[in-house]
Amino acid sequence: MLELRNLAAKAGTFALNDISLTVAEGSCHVIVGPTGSGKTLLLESILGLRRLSDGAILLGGREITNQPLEKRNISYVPQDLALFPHLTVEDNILYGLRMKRIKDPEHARMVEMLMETVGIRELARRSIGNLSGGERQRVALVRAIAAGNKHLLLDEPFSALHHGLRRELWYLLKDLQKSCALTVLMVTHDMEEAFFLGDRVTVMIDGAIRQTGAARDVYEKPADTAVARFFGIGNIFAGRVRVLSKSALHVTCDSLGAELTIPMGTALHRPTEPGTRCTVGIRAENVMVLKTDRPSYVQENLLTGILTEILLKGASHTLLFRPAGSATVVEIEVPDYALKKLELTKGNGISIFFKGESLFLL
Amino acid sequence: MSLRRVSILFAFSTFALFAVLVLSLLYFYRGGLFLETLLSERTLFSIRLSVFSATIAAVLATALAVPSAYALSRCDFPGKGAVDTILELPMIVSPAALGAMLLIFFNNPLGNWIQTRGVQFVFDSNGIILAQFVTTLGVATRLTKAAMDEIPSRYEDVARTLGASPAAAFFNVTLPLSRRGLVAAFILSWAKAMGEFGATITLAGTMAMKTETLPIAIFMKLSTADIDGTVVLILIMTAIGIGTLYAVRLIGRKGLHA
Repeated sequence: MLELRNLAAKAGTFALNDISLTVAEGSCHVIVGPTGSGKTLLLESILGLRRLSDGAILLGGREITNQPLEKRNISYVPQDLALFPHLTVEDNILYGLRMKRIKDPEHARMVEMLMETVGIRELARRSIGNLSGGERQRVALVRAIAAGNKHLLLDEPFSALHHGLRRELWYLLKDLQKSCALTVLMVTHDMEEAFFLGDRVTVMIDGAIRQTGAARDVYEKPADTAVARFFGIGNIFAGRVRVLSKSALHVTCDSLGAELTIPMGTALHRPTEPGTRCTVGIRAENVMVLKTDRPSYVQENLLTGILTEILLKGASHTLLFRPAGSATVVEIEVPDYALKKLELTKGNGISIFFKGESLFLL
Repeated sequence: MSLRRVSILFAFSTFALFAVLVLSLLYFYRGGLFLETLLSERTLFSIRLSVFSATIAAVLATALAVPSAYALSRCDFPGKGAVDTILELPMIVSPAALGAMLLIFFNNPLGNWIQTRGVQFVFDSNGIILAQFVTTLGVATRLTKAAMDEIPSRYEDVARTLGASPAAAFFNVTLPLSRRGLVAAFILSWAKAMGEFGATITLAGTMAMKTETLPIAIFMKLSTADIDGTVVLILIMTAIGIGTLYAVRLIGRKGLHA
């Protein structure tokens, strides 16, 4: 288990503040955040490349805050991979074993199997300069694991790859993490990558942790407006709590000209008093579209208005909806087949409704 | 005329300037004298002394340059700016002034102590090595630093996460990766040491068959108005110099990590 306690570090005018995090043994924890949020600085601080101004780092309960880099037993794969260009693939992979003087034949066999598994056995004699992007990533991962460290820090190692190859390497990393029982802490700015790989996800913005939790919880319930905006959630509406009952929270959203009902215990983060201002959000894919010419049995969170735009987004479409009597635009994401089934065209009058359990309070 | 053509014209003008200087030597070139001068005991001594002292000086300068360049390239420390600036001292002051500084140093109590209890430098062949070493150390450090600056420190960081000590990471990763830069630094230092004159003559003097390097031999031939002999020695020096620089270009062309 890797534990960070109230970590603080500086790089020029940028600072990491009060970072506390626990990466459970054998899990993959992903820190996601925009560029310049301090993700790399945090990894460098954990490795000991940056001096901490405060806090402590514990590995398996043992404090390693002041230990030299080579004694921390944490492998690191930086963004540029840093494969040694003067060594062959095999020499790169065996570098850690040689430095640590690991002569256990069992370990050497494990490394050979690892090379076989990730498909780089036949590249052993190649020089680094003759590898493709995907091969380089594989070599970097195997080198990090071969050194015998069970803790792995990854700094956006797949960011330079095209989407198809990236997905392939995500599966590979998941497999390696499980089969080698690795504890992985990875940083990325790619949300898809974060939620795909992370057992737990931390959102970091401006040098501070804004949210940590199970990947599903973080995805569904962003903690605040900054996190929601970073996730690309455009449907964020200001409102005022009207009624707070045992079963639900009723919020009046003047910008939508509607009252939203949020069931208690689903999307609600914090108790709110009636009359207080609040912000409600919903992901575009959780907004349901109803045709106005069909009867609807939906009573709550129902809005009527005009479909102002239909934008193609690969396998899905983004619809822009303006509620009647409002200038606010609601984003809706529908799959291609649904759009065809609904026979929607720009300018249609439609109804939408927000599933109560998908609404979240920021 | 396009910028490309103008720049190429300037490049050829520079070449022409030096080519004319070399070719003008041929006016005084006497074919029969070449072998006689080249094979004379005094010339061979000068070549041997120059090659030997320049090699020792360049080896010492490069060896000392490696740790200094590493510190300047990788570390932040108080006085770094001063150390970095002083590297240019041999270029700022003239070689004669540098030689004079060495001579004055050996007339100080500490210098005297070194001379009487240690090694003799003033008017001695050791002085040649010292003068060449002092004039090339800055260049060797500067070039080695440039080579190390090109190697991301990330390599060492990763090597250390894989279990290498700082020294092991340096010797296994940074040093091999900067080898081409190091070789280039050595060769250029050696070439500079081979041609060193001002500091050498000031510290070691002009004693035939004792402190007579090739540049000093040229000076001595010229001072006795032996133009034909001077031309032969210059041609020998030019051949050695151009051969060395060509070697540097070959190393450079192969690339840093090749």
